[in-house]
Amino acid sequence: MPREAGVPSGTLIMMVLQVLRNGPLHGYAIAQRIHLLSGDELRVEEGSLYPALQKLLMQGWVKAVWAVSESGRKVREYHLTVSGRKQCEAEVNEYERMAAAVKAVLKGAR
Amino acid sequence: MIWRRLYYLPRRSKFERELAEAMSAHQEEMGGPRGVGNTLRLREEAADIWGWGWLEEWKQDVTHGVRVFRRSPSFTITAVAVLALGIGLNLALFQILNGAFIAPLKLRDPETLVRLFQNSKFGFSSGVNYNVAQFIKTETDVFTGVVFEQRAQMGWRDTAEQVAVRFVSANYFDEFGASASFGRLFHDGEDARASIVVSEEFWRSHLAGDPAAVGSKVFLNGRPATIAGIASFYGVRNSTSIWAPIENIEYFYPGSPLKSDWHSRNVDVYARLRPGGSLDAAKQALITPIAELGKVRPELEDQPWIDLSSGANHFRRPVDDLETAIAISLLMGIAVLVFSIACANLASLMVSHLSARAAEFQMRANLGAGRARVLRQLLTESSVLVAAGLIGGWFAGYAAATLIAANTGAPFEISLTPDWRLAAGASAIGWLALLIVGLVPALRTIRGENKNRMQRVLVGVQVTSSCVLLLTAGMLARKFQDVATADLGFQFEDIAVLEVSLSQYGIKPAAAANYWAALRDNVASDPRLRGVALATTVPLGGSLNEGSFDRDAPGLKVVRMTVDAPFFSLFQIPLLSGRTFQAGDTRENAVIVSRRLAERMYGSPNVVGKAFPKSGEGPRATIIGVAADAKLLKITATNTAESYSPMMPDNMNDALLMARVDNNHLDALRAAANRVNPAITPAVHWMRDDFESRILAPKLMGFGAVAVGLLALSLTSLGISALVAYSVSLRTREIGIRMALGARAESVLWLIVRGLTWPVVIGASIGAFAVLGGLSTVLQGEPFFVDSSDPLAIAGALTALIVAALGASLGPAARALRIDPSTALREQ
Repeated sequence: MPREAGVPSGTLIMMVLQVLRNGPLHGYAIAQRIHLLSGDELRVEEGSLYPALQKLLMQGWVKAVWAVSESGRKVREYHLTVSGRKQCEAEVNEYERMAAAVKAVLKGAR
Repeated sequence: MIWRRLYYLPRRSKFERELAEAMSAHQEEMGGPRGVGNTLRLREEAADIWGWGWLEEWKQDVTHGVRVFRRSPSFTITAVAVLALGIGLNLALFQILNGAFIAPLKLRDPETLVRLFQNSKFGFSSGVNYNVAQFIKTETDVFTGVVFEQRAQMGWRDTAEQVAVRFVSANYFDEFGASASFGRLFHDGEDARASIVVSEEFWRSHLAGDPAAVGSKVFLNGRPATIAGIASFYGVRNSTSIWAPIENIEYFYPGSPLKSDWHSRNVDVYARLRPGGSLDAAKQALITPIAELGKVRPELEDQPWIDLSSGANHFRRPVDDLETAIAISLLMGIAVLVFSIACANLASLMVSHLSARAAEFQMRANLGAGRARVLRQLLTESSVLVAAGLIGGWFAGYAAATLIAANTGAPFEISLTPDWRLAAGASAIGWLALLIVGLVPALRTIRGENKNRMQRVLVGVQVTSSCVLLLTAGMLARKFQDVATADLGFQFEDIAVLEVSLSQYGIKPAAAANYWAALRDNVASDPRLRGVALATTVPLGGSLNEGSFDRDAPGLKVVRMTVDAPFFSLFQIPLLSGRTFQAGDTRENAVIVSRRLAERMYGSPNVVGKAFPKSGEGPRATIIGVAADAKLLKITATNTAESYSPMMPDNMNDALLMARVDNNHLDALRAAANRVNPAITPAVHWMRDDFESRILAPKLMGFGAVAVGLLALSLTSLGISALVAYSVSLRTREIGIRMALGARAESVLWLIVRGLTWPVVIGASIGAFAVLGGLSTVLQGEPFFVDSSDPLAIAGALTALIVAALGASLGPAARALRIDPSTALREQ
């Protein structure tokens, strides 16, 4: 049974950037994609997704444009900008480095 | 990032709308909203990321504040008006202070400017001979520029008024760095014949501040001249009304000896050092040329040399004299007092206003607003008031300063364009107001205090300030009453003065004596002119020769007059004993003293035949007569006496003629002078005009002080009235019970007014002590000379204060008596 937890702290921005690398998505789709990719492990709440998206907008890492969803609704689609792509790479690299380090510690201490 | 945040700021409603739409689309995709009601909160949290949330809150507070104030318009209008007037008054006076004392002197490169003195073994002189200065200017290269200036008094328009004129070289304005407000000034190498430049001060007072005055024709000493421009320049000590080109002096003074004379040293000369040059080097460099000049100019038989000193010392700040400084400081003090009353008053009103809103604050607290949040809201509200007051005050101050500048012929410079000092002053005043009107009542409100102790302290402060103002006003008003109605001891009603600077026309003292003798004959033969006298100083006029005798009559200022024999009969000053001057009297052997001088110096009015002054070395004159006291020059002063010396032949160039003129025939006097020498244009005016201008200052001070005192009193009454009303509202229930139990009206009244007794008594005592113990010593001296023990002034001020306090408390107190016990008990 999936636990359906919130996302680990500090990783939401990175994950949003990462899922946008494959093309623009609207808010609900971003949440869905993260949910799916995590194997139903992670659920992104509105209450944390939209502040994160506002932050991305403010940093200039994404751009928002109006579009029409598959279901025919008018939605805000978020596009990754060039600086957003760079930021994504930097964050992913940093995260992987940290994760490896944490893993090593856990393994060594076992 | 900061740019994106700023980009967001003006577009945030669009951004927020987009956010809201995106979020609602999100919810629809999810299949309808889950938690109704929290979407707004989620949206706000998301929008907060941009960091402008505080702005929203502030905007809410401002909107709320505006709404609150709109709901109580009378409170708001009163508060803003009081703040605007208080701030405006302070700003206007601060502008004057700023222009007078604080703002830097307007003078180009003062460090390279020097003043020249022509000294010789026979004596020192502050002036330089015109031709010597011309020689330095054209024949040496010690300086890059040499500026000339000669002072004169000339008749303005119909010559009824004498104005201060300076004849200056064409480079005057450029060297000193003055610029034209309108029109153009003099410049080197330009022909400026018969044109003059007018000071801004004079332009405002005499030409109605009309820019069209430039290019118009006016008469100076009866000769037409064109106004080339208006200059705002204060220049050398003593104010100047008009500048005229010195090259052209013969046009205004036919026969002027200035350019041919090598003896007199009557030109003030300034010069500009060469870049890098020093004062001492310039002095050294002048020695040889001046010695060479002495060889070719035998007139310079006293072998002069030129001394230099720093030039900037000779330039004045717009206000350099102590009297004006005292007067302005006093005004500033008054303004601050009035403002403190106004603010204390507003704070008191604010407390009442806020206590009426107690329920609102209770509700906010219940909804989870912290004290800090409520405090911020209250401060925002009061800063709305203060901001409105500041805007109003800025305009009021501008208007007041303009009014003062236009009506006083201000001896100070008022810059009407705001500078940073004024802005700093305004914001300081604003913060002070916010502190008193905003913070104090707000703190009290959030603490939930319900006592009116603070309001009583505020009333005490107001009473103190009002008391100070009223006592001062009473004394100044009484002084004016005294001056305006007092017998000065001489008759001047029908007397006209004729003055002319004969030396400017190249007339020597011997010829001057002939001029006056001929004029005296002409006056004697005209039936419209009765009685004539000569003196070097005209009573009620401008210049004053004053001395003191510390050993023989300490504290007494003696006005020294030089007059001829008929002076006493012309002015109807009785000779109490002895005789008037006669042939053979000289200033070394004869003197007439006033009764007061006799009594103070010798202890008796019978002093004819005694030596004057009583003690002292060297030759002393003999007292030949004792005249009645006459306040000839300082009509407000209480510490003066007079001494009279006879006119001597060498006084003839400084003489003035006074004549009793029938039926306003001023033209008869002018015609008499014209028959003696038509080339000479004397100025003629009435002594009563001098009197009017002499009492102008006490009049303005008296009326101004009374007006301010009444303003303060009415503000204070307002404050007292508000306090009583407030305390009645707090005690409605208690009063109701007392009434129900059969208390009498007096005891209820006393219950209400009792709280006021101490604030009023203590406030009035502090105020009275401040005035009678400290301020009155300032007011007793120059230039006020008030009688600080005048019982009428003191009693009047205190009575006004007590009557106003009682009157103000009566209305709300009477309302308390009408309280219906049953209604009162049903409350709460």
